[in-house]
Amino acid sequence: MEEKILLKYIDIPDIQKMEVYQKHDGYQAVAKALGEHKPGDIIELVKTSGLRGRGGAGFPAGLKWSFVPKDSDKPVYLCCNADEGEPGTFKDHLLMEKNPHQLIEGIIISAYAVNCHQAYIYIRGEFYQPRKVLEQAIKEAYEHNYLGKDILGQGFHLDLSLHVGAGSYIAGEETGLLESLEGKRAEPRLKPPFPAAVGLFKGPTVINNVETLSNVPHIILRGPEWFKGFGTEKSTGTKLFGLSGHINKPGVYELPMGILLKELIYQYGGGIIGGRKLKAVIPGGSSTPVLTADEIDVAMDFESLQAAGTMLGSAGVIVMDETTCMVDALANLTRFYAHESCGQCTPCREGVSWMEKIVRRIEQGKGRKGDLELLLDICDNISFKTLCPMGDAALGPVVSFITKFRSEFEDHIVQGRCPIKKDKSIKGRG
Amino acid sequence: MAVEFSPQAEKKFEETLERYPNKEAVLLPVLHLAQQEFGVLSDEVLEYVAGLLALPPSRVKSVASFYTLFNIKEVGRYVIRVCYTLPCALNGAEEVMEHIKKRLNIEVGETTPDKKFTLLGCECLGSCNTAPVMQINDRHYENLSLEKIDQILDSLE
Amino acid sequence: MAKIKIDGKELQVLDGITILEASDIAGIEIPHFCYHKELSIRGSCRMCLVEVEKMPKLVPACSTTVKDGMNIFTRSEKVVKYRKGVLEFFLIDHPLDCPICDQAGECTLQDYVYNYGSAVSRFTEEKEHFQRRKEFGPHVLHYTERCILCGRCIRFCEEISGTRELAIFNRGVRCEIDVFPGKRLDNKLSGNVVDLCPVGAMISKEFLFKSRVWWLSRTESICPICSRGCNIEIDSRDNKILRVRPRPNPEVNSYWMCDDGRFGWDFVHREDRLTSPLEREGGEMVPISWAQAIRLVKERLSQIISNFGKEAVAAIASPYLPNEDNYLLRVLLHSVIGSPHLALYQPPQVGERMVFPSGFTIEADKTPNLSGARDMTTTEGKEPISYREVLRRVASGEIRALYFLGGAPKISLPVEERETLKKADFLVVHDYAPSELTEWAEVVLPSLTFAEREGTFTNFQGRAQQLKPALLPPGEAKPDWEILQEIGRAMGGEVSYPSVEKVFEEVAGTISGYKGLSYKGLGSQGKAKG
Repeated sequence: MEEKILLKYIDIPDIQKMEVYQKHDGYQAVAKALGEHKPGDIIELVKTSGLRGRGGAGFPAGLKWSFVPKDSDKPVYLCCNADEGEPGTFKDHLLMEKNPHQLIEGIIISAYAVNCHQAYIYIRGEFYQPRKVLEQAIKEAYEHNYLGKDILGQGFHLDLSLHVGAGSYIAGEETGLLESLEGKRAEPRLKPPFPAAVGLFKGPTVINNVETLSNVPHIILRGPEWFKGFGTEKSTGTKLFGLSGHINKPGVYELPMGILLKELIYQYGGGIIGGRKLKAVIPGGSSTPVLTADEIDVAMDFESLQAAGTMLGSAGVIVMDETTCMVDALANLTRFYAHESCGQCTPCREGVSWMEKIVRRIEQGKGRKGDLELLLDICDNISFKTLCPMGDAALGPVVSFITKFRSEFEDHIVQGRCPIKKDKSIKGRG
Repeated sequence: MAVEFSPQAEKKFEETLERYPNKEAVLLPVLHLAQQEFGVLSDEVLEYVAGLLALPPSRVKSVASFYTLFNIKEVGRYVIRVCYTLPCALNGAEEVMEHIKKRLNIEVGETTPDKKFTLLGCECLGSCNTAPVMQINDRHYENLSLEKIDQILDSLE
Repeated sequence: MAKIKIDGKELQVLDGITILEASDIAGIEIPHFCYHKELSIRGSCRMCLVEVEKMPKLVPACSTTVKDGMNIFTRSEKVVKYRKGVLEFFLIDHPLDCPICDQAGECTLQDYVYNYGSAVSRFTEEKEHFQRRKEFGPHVLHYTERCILCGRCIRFCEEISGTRELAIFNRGVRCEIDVFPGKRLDNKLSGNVVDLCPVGAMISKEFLFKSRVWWLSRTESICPICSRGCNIEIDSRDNKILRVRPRPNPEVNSYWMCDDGRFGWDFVHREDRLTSPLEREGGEMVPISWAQAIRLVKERLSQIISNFGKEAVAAIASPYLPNEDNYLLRVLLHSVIGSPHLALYQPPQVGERMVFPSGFTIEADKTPNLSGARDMTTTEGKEPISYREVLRRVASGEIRALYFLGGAPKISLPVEERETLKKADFLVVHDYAPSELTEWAEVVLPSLTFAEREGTFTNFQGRAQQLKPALLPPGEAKPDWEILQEIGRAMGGEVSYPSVEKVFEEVAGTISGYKGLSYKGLGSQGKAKG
């Protein structure tokens, strides 16, 4: 039984409540951080641990924090990105709803590390239940002097506010999040300047994912060397893997980085529903290139997946079996990206919507010769040309689905219909 | 202006102002508050919000129309949002949608004549492990089956 | 300073400028839509992407700053291919409106597609549709489907006029620009969004369907509606003004002009323009020839001079006329007739000065040349007689003959002044159309509006700026300075200016402040007085 870090106490009844949480190492990390370390030390500890961003980009957290200027005349802000919107991803949902204090602890320590006194949790508007739980937990944290003025008498002040989103995937992009927090449309900003230099309300800002921040208390309490004992050399720690789609046991699985995708699907996920055949797997949330059933002997960590031509992303694994029409699946995803495009920049706004229309037309049996080359060329004109990475996110599925399942697309075009025996019924697992 | 915050909403508004360094940043929280108070973010409500925050009404509507959860058009008492992004689609979202359409006798995007239900499709709700999923107002309904859907709809006044 | 290379051309430029600015200096075009010199950088249209050595991605030229040693390629294979691709994107939801769109011929999208795009689009799906046309305000129409969402108009309302009427609504491919329902785009600078719009999405009501732009004659001139003297371009066809637009002048009006000036030239085409000299006979104004008119004026003036002396003649200069015309009035009165009584008409201040957040200001003084007229009517060290004083002396009978230059788009005199004018023994008036001045004149001499003449206006900053004629004079109307020259000669004076330029030369020689200026040297941006 592997040791868990983030989900260690997830099944303890009422762990969301302060009195229960405190009985399980609760807020000891905060006490240690504020009592025994200087902010610079915290950054070094997190750097040494090798903790990488768990939101999708995988940027080393400690390094990101070190970019914050020590002597800014504007306030430093910390934003917790809880706008979990990447299809296939639901781990932050679980962390916030089941163990909110772990996140709050992580925020306090991280804010301390970068000299921040005002932090926000940007939580997506659809997370009603996690929001209620967090509100209560934050209230408790204030009551117990873990937030507010002079925390634990150590002279550190921190205010934490919950900011509720209103339905926009692109608000999960770090600068889209900042715009939304500032009361505007969640339209991503040009970079440079980067948020660490000019961020929220023009002050230096750190934006971290829920899972990333939730790891911080454990790194402080048990030390970076202990953390490095999990996972691989370049992808340390554990990861919350999400399993969804045609899987027998969907859910969040905390496992060390580097576990094989095959193991994840069959050993932990219980294999495919109804014993059917695996057809395709998206390894890290919808923006990551798809893998075929022959490609699942890959380790789930940042380097290995990159070498395999895809990405770890948010580790939201979407499993598709033989009853899936890949064209239909792609039409579904391109519709998602077209709907979520903020509309600011031309290639994403026009190009992604164009791709949605073409793929849908192919799915309906009205595809034409040349459509696939056209789709790939459109991708080339979007790739790395957009203002923010969402254009590239939308391409992930398009390029990989067409490349790896080309014959299926061609069959649709040539036959003028979908040749797959689809099953779109409710799976209702026992 | 017929539109105005109730004393409780006014109090919440004041509290919210303290958590942000300027009035412009309070726009999203205030729009949420206004939607709770007035049900729909009609042009009248948007103009009221604009006045509260000293923002031009065009900006307020520009922001409100960007976000999916803000209803700027009339909706029923219960807004049903059925997730239809890939993981839910793989687990029967289409069946869920068809079932509700038939039961309420409306198309996606429409409201029942008695103004009770509005049916909408929506993108990933971040709960893919419990697919298929739908939201009605501020509640999640997970692991849906046709029977569950019927029970839920029956239970709503 | 930074040493960079653009398309092989070596340049030394200031540190921190953008690639787009550097390309401008190098004379290399980098196509762009959302960027505008006077507006904040947005970087969203993605038209301006170029290749930079050692950088893996194409970068936006408008927002990427140059660094020493940067090697930039604006026409590499990658860039050429990308430009075709992005232009294809722009055209996806753009309607095929060229045959009926006013912007054709001066449309940036058209030009770029022609120069950098593909002749054929591969888009064969259903386009996104929007409300075809919206009326945004008293002057501006919006053709929604043509909009490429560059956002310039929105940034204009945010940063220049500060009025913030426009915004983007919805998201993604359903984005559209609109005003809040019930509100209008009615700030005093609204017409500028039509100039800013790179395509035909923002259209001027006044110019709608009036003409294809390649049939327009373009004339550089100066706006006559207030003392700012915004530099303008008069676009005309078949001797009619069809529209007026600003010319950029960083010292005067930046890239803008106000709606009062932009749409305020109707008076030029009044049906009742004066086309021949008129003499009052009985109660009627009767047309006479120029020869007759000159002779009549000479005789009446000479009569009064002989009966009452030179000082019984006075003249009123006009702040609505160019310097050269007022100067000739001075020559006639001082040098030929020998009277000192040269006054200047000043209308009462009715307007308000309007300052916009960008600094652009509409002046309260609604005359184009008060400053210049003052210069022309003042003699070194001496305080000129005031307009009020002249009228007082007309009323008392000390002044018998009044030579009044008009030219206002609309003049409005209080009753007492009109009564006083009636009292003059001899009132001769120049104007371009019947007015409260011509009502009581014995002789009316037809002159020109700003659109039909050469000359200079001196604006509120003391900047002398040139007018150029866009239209032919109607009928027998003449510029005021020419009329005054002929009268001067008829009265025995040695008045000989073969051209406006020669008049200006003398002004530069006589009136301090204009020393060192030459007519040609004013160029198209004018020059400040010394």
